[in-house]
Amino acid sequence: MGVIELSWWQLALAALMVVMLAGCTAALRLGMSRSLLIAALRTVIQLALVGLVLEALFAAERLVWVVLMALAMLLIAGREVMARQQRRLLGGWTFGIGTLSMFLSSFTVAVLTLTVVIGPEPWYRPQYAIPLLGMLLGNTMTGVALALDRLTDTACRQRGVIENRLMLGEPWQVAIGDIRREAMRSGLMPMINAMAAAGVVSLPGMMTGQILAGTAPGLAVKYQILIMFAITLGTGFGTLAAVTVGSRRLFDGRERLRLDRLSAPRS
Amino acid sequence: MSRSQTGQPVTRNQDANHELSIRVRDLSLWYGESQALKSLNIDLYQKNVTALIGPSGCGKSTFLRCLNRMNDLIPGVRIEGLVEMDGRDVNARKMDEVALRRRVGMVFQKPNPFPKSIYENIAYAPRMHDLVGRKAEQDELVERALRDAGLWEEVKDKLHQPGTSLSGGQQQRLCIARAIAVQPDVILMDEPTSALDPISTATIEDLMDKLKKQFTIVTVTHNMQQAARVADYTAFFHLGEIIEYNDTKTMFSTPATKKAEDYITGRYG
Repeated sequence: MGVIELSWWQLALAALMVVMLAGCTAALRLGMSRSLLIAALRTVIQLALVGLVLEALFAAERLVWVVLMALAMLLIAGREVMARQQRRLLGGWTFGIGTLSMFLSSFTVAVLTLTVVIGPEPWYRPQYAIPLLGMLLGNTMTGVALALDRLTDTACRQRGVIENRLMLGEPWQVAIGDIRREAMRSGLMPMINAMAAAGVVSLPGMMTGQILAGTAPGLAVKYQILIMFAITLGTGFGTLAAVTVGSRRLFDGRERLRLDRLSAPRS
Repeated sequence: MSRSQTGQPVTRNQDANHELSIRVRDLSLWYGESQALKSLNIDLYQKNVTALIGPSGCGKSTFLRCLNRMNDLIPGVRIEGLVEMDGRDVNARKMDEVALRRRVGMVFQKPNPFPKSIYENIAYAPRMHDLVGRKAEQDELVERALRDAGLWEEVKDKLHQPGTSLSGGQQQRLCIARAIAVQPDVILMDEPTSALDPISTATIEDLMDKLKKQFTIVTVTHNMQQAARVADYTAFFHLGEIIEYNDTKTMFSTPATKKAEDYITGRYG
């Protein structure tokens, strides 16, 4: 089984249909044809560029380029975590916490998966390393962003409760315990739901892609399971790290709640 | 001038023979550049209700929050002077905040029960402090706290319903029960009845009268009648200073300063 070559004019057909959809939404005055077209255009440009980068990367197969690419992805993900917050920790802490926790979890899990489980030769072979890291970072980013947002937002809304618990002589870890649990849950829930629904409701994208590319379903399934576990590990430890450091940052050494370390909420 | 430089009320109440609970000397507090408390001196006595009155922004709540080190939530706060509780410096570096706060309960303006059952609202902190062990002990403590807060009869059949399901006045009494369950020495109240209706307010005032047999109570209030009704001592704050501090009867019948008199009689503030 091989892959059927896809040429640009075939893509143009699909693009034409997207334009038709945009035309329909414009006719129905849904007010979204413009953003639909812009998003579609962004897809084309961004993916084409990534394609070029990946081809160069695959051809070179040098560790230094893989590392540089990984770092670039990490920093962009860190920025994205920050952009998704209602309230940021001031002084660059949200970016710092997000980036650090994604670095710790995603990179560790990616390297472990590459060296111990999959074992390509060399271990940093871009064909495996970059897509794996991409999937890990993408999901970890969602988990970390959701968890941090829930943590800071709930802490602000339940300020009275937290302060009252401090006043009852509870140490800060106990006073924010419930909120921390809630934040962890909201970070991990998407992944748990995805695992629960995998194969029954939805066919995961990576597996579908591999099957389309001609891989035997049995092997594609094994890869998908591996990836889902890796993503869960990455998201779980990333969220754990972010919530731990983030909630620590909300208190100081004198057991005071420091909401002044948060930015004003975005309207 | 009747401002007491020693911190003791210029009382004519000769029966007053109370033991010192909190001693404050030369307490000043700055938010950045602006000084919110100006060299306060005051002695607060055990097992009494002391009311802090004065116009908005005069430093009453700021002062209250100095007593359990809750104040310095805001960056740039600087505190000078002495706050001593049972002879120990509250602001000392080596003071254990967690232990201090256990001994100084706080009731806020807006009741804020935890999103847990009525029972758990009360039992959680004592369990954490190892004040109770067996289930029976816990049950006993919860009942005692609720009885002391005058809420037992109303909630004894629904202890496992959420605390948030109660009415505003009941919620505030639940918060008081929660505060007394950890057996503090002092209870600070920051306008505890300002969000309540008159009937709930009266209930809480009766409660303060009972609770002062066991606890030292310091309350901030905007309600002159309330101060007159519940407080043994009253301190009048103005622009970050204590203008007058006296036993409540004297303060309300023959205030020694013009400012206090104007405020009490409603001509000012």
